[in-house]
Amino acid sequence: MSAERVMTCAEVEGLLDAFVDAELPAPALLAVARHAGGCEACDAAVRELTALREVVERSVVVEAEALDLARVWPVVSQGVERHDARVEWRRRLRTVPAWGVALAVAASAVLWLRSPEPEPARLAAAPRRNQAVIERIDSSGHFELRRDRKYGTTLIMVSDQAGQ
Amino acid sequence: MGSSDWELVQRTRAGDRDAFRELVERYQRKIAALALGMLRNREDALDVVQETFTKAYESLGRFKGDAAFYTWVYRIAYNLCVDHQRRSAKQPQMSLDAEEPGQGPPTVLAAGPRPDQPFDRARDSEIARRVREAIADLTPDHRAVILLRELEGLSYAEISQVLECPKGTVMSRLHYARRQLQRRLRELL
Repeated sequence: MSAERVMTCAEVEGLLDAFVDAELPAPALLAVARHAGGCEACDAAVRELTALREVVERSVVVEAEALDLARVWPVVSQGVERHDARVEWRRRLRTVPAWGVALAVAASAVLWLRSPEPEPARLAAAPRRNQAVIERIDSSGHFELRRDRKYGTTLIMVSDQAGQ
Repeated sequence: MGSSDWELVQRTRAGDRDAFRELVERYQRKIAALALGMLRNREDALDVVQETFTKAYESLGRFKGDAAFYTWVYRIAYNLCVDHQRRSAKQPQMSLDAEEPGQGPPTVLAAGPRPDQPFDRARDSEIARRVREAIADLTPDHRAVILLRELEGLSYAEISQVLECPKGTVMSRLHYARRQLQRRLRELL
C-alpha cells in the first residue's frame, strides 16, 4: 500500500488495531497517521482505542501487583527437588553394572535354595476300605440304603417303629 | 547487567538452581497477571504460577531456544489456565469482584495520576471493577489475546507463538475483543 495515497476511513478502520499496537510497516503507519490527523472521526477512534488499552492495562496490572508471590519459589523449589531426585534415581537404574545384576540374581537363588521345603499337602482322608456308605435315608428314618465298598453290595436297612 | 534468559536456561540445565530461581523471579509477576486475568481467582492463579514454573523446569530439556523463554513459559501458563478452566467448568467460581469489601487487592489504578480524593479512588475502583468484569465476559481465547497484548505487551507474532495460532487469527481475535470491551466500557473511555 502506497504511503502517498490518501486512505479512506474504511481502510483506516481496518488498520486501527495494528496502528495503535505499532504493528504496521512504516509506510502504512504514516498513511494512517496522516489520515487520522485530518479526520476527526478516525482521530477519535484512535484516541478511544488508546484509552481502552490504558484502562485495561491499569485495571489488571494493579490487581496482579497485589498478589503475594512470596510462596511461589518455595513451592517451585520443592517440585524442582522432587524432579531432580526422580531423574537421579532413573540415571542410577540405567547405570547399574552387570555384575550388580548378577549378584542380585545369585543372592536370590541362594535365598530360594536355603528356604525350608514347604510342608506336603495333607491328603484328604480317604474312606476306609470296609466302610459302608449311606447313600439314601428316607424322611421318616425307617430305612436306609448302604453300599458296601468291599463287596459292592447294597444293604437295605429297615427299622421298626421304635427305631430298632 | 543481569544474565540473559538463555544464559540462565543454560546454567539451570547445568544444575544451577539459583539460575532457575532468577528466571522464576523475573517472570512470576507477569505469569501471575496472565493467570489472574484468565481465571479471576487469586488462589487458582497462584497455583498456576507454581505449576507453570515446575513444569517449565521439568521440560527445560525440550526448550530449544528458537523462541524466547518468556513466550515458551507463557504458553505453558496459558495451557494450564485452559486446563484449569475445563476442570472447573462445572464448579461455579467466586469472582474476585464478588469478595468482601476490603478483602481484595487495592483497586486504585496505578499508572495514572494518583487520586488524592476518596471520590476519585472510588471512581477508579469502580472503573477497574467494570473493566475486569468486561474482560471476564470474553471467551478464553479473546481474553488471552487481550491480556497478552495489553498486559504483557507481546507482539502479534509472539502471541501467535504462545497461543499456537496464525498471526491473522491473533489480529481478528484482538479486533473482536476490543470491540466487545469498547461496547461495554464506552462511557468510561
